[in-house]
Amino acid sequence: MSSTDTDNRQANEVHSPEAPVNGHTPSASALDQTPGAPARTPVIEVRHLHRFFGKLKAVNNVSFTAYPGQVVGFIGPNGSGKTTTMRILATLDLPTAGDAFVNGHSVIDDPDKVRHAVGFMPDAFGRYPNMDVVEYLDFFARAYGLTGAKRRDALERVLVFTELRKMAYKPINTLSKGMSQRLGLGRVLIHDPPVLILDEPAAGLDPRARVELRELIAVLSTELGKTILISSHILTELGEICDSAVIIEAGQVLASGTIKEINDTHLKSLADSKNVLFIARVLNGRAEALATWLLEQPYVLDANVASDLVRFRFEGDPHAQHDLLKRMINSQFEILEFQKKAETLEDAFMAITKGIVQ
Amino acid sequence: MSTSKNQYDVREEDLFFCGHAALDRYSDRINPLLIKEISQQLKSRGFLLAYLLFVLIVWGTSILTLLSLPQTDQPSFEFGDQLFSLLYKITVLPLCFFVPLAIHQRMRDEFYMHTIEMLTITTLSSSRIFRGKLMCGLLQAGLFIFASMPFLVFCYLLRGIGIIEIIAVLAGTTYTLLCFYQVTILFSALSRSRVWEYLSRVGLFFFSTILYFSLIFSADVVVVGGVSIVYYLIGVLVANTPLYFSMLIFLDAAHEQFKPLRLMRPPFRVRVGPEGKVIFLPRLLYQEVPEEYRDPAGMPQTTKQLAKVT
Repeated sequence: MSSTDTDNRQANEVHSPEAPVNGHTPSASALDQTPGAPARTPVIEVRHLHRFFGKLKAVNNVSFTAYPGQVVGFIGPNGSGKTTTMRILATLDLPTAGDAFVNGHSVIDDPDKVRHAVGFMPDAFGRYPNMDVVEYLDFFARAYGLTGAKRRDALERVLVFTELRKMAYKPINTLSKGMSQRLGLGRVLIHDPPVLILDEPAAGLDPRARVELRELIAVLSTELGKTILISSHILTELGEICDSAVIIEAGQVLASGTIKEINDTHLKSLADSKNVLFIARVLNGRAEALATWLLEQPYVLDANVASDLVRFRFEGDPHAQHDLLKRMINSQFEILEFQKKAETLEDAFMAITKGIVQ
Repeated sequence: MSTSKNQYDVREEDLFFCGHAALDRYSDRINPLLIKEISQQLKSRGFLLAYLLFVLIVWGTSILTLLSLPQTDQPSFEFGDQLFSLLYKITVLPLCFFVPLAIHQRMRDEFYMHTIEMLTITTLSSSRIFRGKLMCGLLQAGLFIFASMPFLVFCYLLRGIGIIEIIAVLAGTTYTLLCFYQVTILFSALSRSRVWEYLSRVGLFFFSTILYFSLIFSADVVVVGGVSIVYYLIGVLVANTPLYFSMLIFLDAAHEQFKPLRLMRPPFRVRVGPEGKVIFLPRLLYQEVPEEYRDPAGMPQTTKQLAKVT
């Protein structure tokens, strides 16, 4: 990463926009490339984007970039400006100020070229009545200007990829939520765009459908080299499929970079303070007793019970941790599990965001 | 994701493509929206029932009228004009009420179901989307006229009406409907809320009623009243064209009130063709940039960006 999160904040605050040269100019606020790697051209570049709705600053100076093959998680609470940014990238809305570039084309000046390069899947896309799966995909293939054999090949490719082949002649109104999402994914893939923008694609899906969708997204990124900007509230899933993330709140980017960088940067303060979350699982329904006991121990800041699990914050060093575990066992608690809770994107998100609602 | 062979060429169940290869190839030249909407209409129970009912009424009216004709050997007996007038009243009924309502419903659904956004981000231009919707309405109207056409032409055999008069009346009707359907599409794009939807439906019904009575009155003037066809056609042009343009100006002004609609690309504003550009040229040239587009940080905007705003 050639710029840190601090750099990103600075870029958001003080950077003046460079005039676009041939559509794009890499900026300092990039979701950066591997150090030492040859410079690549960003596929998505959002530069000082503003979108105001009256007094509401839905998007307020947002800048970030994404490179080919990256899966970028776009994370933020409800009303943080994710969807507005995505809609601008998909040419469905115009920014109040700033600009965004997809494949080097401005969403303001060259929306038609952007549309060729982008596949946008909104969180809720309508379904046409009296239409089956093939007709739906065929219509969008035609709408994207595909003709003859190219159109038929695109249909076949998408039906095979999304595994909707068996349902080709099923009315789309009768599809399950999971299948509808596959159909939506198929629609965005029909013109084979290099960039996919997926707004909450896993919302409302059952666990199996979520896993299947995650696998499809992984294939799109790793095997087909698509650049994917994906928003979701299920941060554990995003952590698994994304290599980078942009965390946004109240219309402003709070952090951006690879998942590891975000975790390292924003969870470092927690780790440094030795204020670490631990989990202990105890047998015989003695979780409450263990929590009470823990609160009497040194370095334990708080303790919460959830079923047979006790979560507690501990600020001691590894030796103190070892002593605590030893005392726990000596106190006749039948400990089944004792571990430091892994730091996840969710933890980073909670550490970074402040719960601001506009 | 790529497949080595197109399975549509070999699978029996895919007659949709391989069985109609020539038709499929030709369909590439047709507006995609027209294909989609007609396909949807043909699967729609509402349309099929309305069409069937219409055909039955036209058949029934023609047969009953013929049966009720007095038995006479007079060579000067003429009944074609009256039967034509009756059939015309039945034919324009769905054209003035059912088709515009169907157009309105489809446009409303596009906005409510957010499918308009999916259409917007395809490479279809705004005028193609507009033309697709318009052609679908006209084709629907054409199906109704087609169903009653044999009976309308049959009136010629009953004397009292000339074939030129029949053609002139149908041409005048088509032109009037063309203007009306264009206005209906733009009018339907106003349905941004429940209140607007209700108001637009009431407005549509009101205009449909006026249109229906003006159509049957003007046709009667020619067919029964014996007014010259030339005067009829001039009357149709003079009555419809200014009304059409004044409606466009009204709708354009109304659409200006809807910022999301204005921002949407392609906007469902007045992009109906060369006449729209001509009539709105002064506004396009002198329109000021809205305040919201001025960059809050004093960031200069490109000429293209300003052009897009207008």
